[in-house]
Amino acid sequence: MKKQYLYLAIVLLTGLVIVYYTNGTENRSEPPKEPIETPSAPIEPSVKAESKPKPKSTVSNSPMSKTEKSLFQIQLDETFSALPTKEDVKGHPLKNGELPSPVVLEGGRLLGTVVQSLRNNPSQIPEALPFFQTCAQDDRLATAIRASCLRKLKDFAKESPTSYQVRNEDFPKRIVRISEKLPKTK
Amino acid sequence: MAIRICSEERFERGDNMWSWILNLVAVVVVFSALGCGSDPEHMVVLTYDASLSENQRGIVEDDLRFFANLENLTSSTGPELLGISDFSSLSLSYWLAERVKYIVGNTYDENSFTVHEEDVDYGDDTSNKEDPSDEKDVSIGVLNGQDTQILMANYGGVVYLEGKKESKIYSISVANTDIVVASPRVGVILAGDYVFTLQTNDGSVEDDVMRFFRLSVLFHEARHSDGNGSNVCFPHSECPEGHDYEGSIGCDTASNGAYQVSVVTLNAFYEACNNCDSKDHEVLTALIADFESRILDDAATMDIAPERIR
Repeated sequence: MKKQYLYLAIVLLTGLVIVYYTNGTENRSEPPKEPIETPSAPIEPSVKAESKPKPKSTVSNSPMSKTEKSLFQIQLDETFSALPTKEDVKGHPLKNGELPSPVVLEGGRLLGTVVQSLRNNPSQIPEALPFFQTCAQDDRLATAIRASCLRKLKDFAKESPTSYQVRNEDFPKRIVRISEKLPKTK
Repeated sequence: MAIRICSEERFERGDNMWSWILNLVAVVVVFSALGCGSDPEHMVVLTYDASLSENQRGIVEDDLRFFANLENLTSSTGPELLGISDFSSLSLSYWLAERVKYIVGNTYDENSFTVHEEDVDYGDDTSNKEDPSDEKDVSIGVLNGQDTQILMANYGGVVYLEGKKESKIYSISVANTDIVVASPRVGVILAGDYVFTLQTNDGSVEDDVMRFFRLSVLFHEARHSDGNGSNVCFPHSECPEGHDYEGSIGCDTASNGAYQVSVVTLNAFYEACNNCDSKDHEVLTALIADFESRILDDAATMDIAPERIR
């Protein structure tokens, strides 16, 4: 009789374990009722950013789909990685240095692709502002490109649907001075 | 009687086609006589040395034609900087023509200059006291095809400075013409092969933006035809430590020097470029920023009046 209770207990216990395991598996594999929220912060341009704190994301209200956002961030990342550095400028065969290195022209073209994207899709502006800020603060990049980025930052911050404060104190005086001589972004 | 063309009404009234064709021919003749389709009257006409290839010459001429046709050029600071009344392509063309007269190419023989006069007193106390300048040596070295590529250089200015240093007046031969280099205003510009090949990755040398770039360089070189005393030819100075072009003779201590001329002209071109897309505009912006970065913080305004020894 005692053995029968023992067998019964084992069977019940085994059953409980099976039920528990099955329920747990079902719970883990169950599709979520709401879409999974991914972090709204943009992928930070990670390659050359200096030690200064990264600007906060302002993209939480962006109406774009996740796929579009991701593609634009990839574009920003790739652009940032390709922007000319001071070393690139020095390394060009125009060694007399009297006229701009061609890498500066290419850097301008790269920024132009970002501006073009923003003109085509102004809702991306909030995502682009941290890109321009990081670019303008990165002291490894060519000075002309940093100043161009600061000009874009100021111009697009005014067009941004979300508030984005740009303070001259956050940038070297020389970069600010040069940026102020540049034409308004078209 | 007003000439009417392409009027269906005329045909309906029974006029024959020959009458219409004759009218059309008349219109073409009248328009041709009025100059329609020809170069603008104020297009800068330069003299080209044989060292410049036909293709290169064509690019320069197209650039100048393009410039002469530009409308709506504006600048708030440009007129004062250049000493002109307004910033129209007409005024700018006259300004340019006073300072740029000849174009020589990369293969120009720098040994073509000869001594025209010796023991010349240049009349200012800086003339013979300067150390031999690396800047001048480098510029002439460029002509020798050494290890540096060049976009443009004011060769007339270089020869004038060389003469001033040596208390001589040189004469150079350009396009079968002997030119006595008694002033930096002789206006002989060297255009290196490189300036005709430079382009953005997705553009061509004939893109508007590249035309603007070459024109801005031409205006830049034109400023080197100005100045007097220690500032004759508005020479560049060495870029300081920490500068992108550190150690290069590629900065200005003059706030109205060649780089400022580039900044002002490119800003006006930026606004006037109707065919520019965002990429073109940003290339121009990067160029302006590069030129602006070369004007040193303590730059001062300098006298633009050109000196002349004879």
